[in-house]
Amino acid sequence: MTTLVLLSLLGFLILFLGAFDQKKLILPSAVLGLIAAFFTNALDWGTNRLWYSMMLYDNYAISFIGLMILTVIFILLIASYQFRNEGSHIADIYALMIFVLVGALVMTSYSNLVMLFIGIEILSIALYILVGSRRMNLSSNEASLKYFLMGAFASGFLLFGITLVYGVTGSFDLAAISDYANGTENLPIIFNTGLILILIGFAFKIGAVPFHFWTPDVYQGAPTLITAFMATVVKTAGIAAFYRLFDTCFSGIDGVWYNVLWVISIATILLGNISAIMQNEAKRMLAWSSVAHAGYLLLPVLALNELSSSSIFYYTAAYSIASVTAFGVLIAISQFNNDLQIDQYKGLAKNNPFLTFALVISMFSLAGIPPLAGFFGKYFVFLTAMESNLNIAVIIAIAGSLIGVYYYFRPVIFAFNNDGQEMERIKTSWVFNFVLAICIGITLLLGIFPDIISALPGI
Amino acid sequence: MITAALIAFPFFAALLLFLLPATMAKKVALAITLLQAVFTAYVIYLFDINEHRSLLSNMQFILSENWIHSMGIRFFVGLDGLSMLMVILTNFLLPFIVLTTWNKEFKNPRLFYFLMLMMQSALVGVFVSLDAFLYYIFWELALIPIYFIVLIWGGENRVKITFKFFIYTLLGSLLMLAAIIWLYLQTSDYTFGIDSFYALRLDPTAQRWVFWAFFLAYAIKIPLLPFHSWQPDTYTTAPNAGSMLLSGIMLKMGIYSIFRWILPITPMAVSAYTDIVLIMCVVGIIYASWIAVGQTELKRLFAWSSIAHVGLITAGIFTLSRTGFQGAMIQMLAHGVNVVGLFFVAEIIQQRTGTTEIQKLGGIRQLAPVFASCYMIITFASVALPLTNGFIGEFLLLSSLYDYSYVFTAFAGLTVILGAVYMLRAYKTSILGENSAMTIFADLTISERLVLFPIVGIIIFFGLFPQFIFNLTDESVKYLLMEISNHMVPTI
Repeated sequence: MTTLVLLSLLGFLILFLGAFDQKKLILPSAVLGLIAAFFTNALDWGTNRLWYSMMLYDNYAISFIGLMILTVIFILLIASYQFRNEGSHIADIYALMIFVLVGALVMTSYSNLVMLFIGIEILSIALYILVGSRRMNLSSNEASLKYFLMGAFASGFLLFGITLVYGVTGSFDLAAISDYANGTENLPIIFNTGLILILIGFAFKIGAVPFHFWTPDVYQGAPTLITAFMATVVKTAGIAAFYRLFDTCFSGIDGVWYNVLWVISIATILLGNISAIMQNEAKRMLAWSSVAHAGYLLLPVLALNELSSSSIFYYTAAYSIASVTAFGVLIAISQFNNDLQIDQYKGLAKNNPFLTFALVISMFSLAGIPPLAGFFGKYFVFLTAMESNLNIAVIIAIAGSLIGVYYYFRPVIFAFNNDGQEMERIKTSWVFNFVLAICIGITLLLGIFPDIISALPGI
Repeated sequence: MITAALIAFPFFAALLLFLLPATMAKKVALAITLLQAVFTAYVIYLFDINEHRSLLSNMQFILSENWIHSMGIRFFVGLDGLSMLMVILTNFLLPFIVLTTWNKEFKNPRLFYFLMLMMQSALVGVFVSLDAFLYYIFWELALIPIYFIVLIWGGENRVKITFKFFIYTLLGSLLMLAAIIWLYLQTSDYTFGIDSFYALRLDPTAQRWVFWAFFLAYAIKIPLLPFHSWQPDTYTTAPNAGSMLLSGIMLKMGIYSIFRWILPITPMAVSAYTDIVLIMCVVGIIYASWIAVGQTELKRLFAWSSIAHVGLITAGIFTLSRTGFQGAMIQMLAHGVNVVGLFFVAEIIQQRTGTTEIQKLGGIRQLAPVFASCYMIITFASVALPLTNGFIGEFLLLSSLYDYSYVFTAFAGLTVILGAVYMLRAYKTSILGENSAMTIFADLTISERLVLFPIVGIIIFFGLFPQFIFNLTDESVKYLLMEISNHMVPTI
């Protein structure tokens, strides 16, 4: 709870700093505030405290919140590099990002469906504005509108589903719903309908097939930094909330939602990967690949056993860190090239060894090449799925990740393929390099000692 | 500890390369590989070849440390005769492979030699891992340096070719990973340890699935016939040192793994599918030899002949006999040495004349007699002439195949005849005869002699005294056969 209050106050503080034109103070105070929040969050470890039966700070929530705070810190530091020459509304952007984080925090720690909905709305509304934050840019505006319309639909579905479940169970409380669902022999059709509607709402939010249509356009139109933010923090929050609901309430009942989710996750993996092959635009490629990753993340939700939560956490951690690295490299390159075709990675290796190394590590990790973090992420997910006998799903997922290798290797191949072209040396700030180095370090460390995370108790 | 040091030394020593000037890279890399070879020699000296009667007592220098405790994954390594043979092959070939690049200047040499040494570490890792998960990690890790070596320093069309190579091999290994995870879930104590995997008594249906998941990975790596299409292109486009790593050592990963993982874990499936695999091998042998006959370019010819050779090795293994196993072990070592020699011959010709088209060559014998003689002996070894190292292995393999079925032998025996046809013809056309266009062909330089003379020496030495290899691997072979027959007893 301290973390929640701290983060909310931090958002306001930054708004005020912006209003009083203290630009130099914005970034340091945001980062310091987030670091403080990271520690107050860590202090709650193991307490399992339930706040007014609305929010439950268990280890599951705390680990996800810690991961998201860390990701935001990295993104803000990389942002300092992109925004150094840019317009006046930095304070607004930073503040909105922190409000998104507040929403994400509520989404991962709710123990009441009302809190879930409030969390999603806090997150979404701030995000609609962020996506449109390049005010003069047409595609940014288009992305914002699209995301808003789609998001509104998703919220509608979710709310409708929650209402139906409430109508049957008479409670918003997760524990009460769980008792009802596990204690009733023949669940009424309305309950199942509500469940499916909630599932659809979540599928919208994490961009799973067939509710993924907004993802590529929005990812492409949004400022690169916000895209990175959506691909990491927002997706993490979405899947964490998803799993929390299904683990607590619906683990005892199978049948309806199980088959639907099976189809959704397989379709997401295949369509995301196959579509990513055909992209020539780097951001669109990463957008489609993030769709595919959502599919992998749904496998542990489907498996729903004692390994699920830790494998989801490990996967999101590996994926977030690698994505931050990938987007960082993309930001550094796009300084000099206005559009971001994949073949513009060409000749990167010649004069930019560090950026190339970062690119190789991030792409290999996303593709799941051992011994990087991304490989163990996939491994844990497959292990979790096979433990619940989802063998066929795993085989299809393996085929998917093989396709993934194709498009993740393209930027790497272009980087080393320097016939004719050479990219000039890209100057980057030391903060930027520092963040990339830390991300690379984490990717390697998680790959070599995956125990650091998978041994965390009670995730 | 010794085993772990064998894995770790090349990689960590290679990090030194980045601290030193680029001009030193070659020398430092050579020094590291030589040190590693000396270290390996010391390990051979310590190695005990006496009789043991169980897997883990067969294994020596065992190190078992928890790595990912929560998942039952250990850093579990050890050496038995089979592993030792492969480690010897890797660590003694590497100095030669580095030496073959002595006269060549690569762009960014530090990265090049770093990748080579990283590959050495990964290869040794594959050969000594006793934990299936660790084994898988090294298996994949070996792929990454060679991918970059071919991608960055390769010849024409390298982007497409490396890509095909990578996807192909990755497909195999991912299925193997699925099988490994499945086996892990079957173990009683949830570990990846090889002893737990060997102790599994799977029912026949399960064995079939596991067998194909593993075997596909190995068939692609070796490569066996329908899965070979990545190989000739990759060998041809790779820089020569890369081709040597690939054909000399890396494809042995597949053969070694058949011994280590498939045979003892799924023996019933192995014996059920022996005929299918043998047909794959024999068809591959004939097909590859036939294509090799038609090749006009040396590197491609060696690539195709390599497919024929490894096909025969695999066929020998699947006869599940002591002769077959021993033949395969000897032939793995012989093939590794010979193929490095052959690719180096192609490299020398390429450097001197700018082409490896057989028709454009000829008349080299008068100009460079020492080179021509070395090439001749290597040619003899690869067509399995008696008194060369190729003979013993090939003879044992064919005789094991004869015990199994003379039909297969009749066809597989063609490899010897066709092999003689294309190898000798290539030698005759490219080296002997008259060629007015060929006026300058310098004989071997010192660094080239330092590679070819020892290779020729090894060829003749192991042709005369193969006993060392028998002694080294005999216990592993006996143990493997015992393990397989024990597994066969339950109902099939």
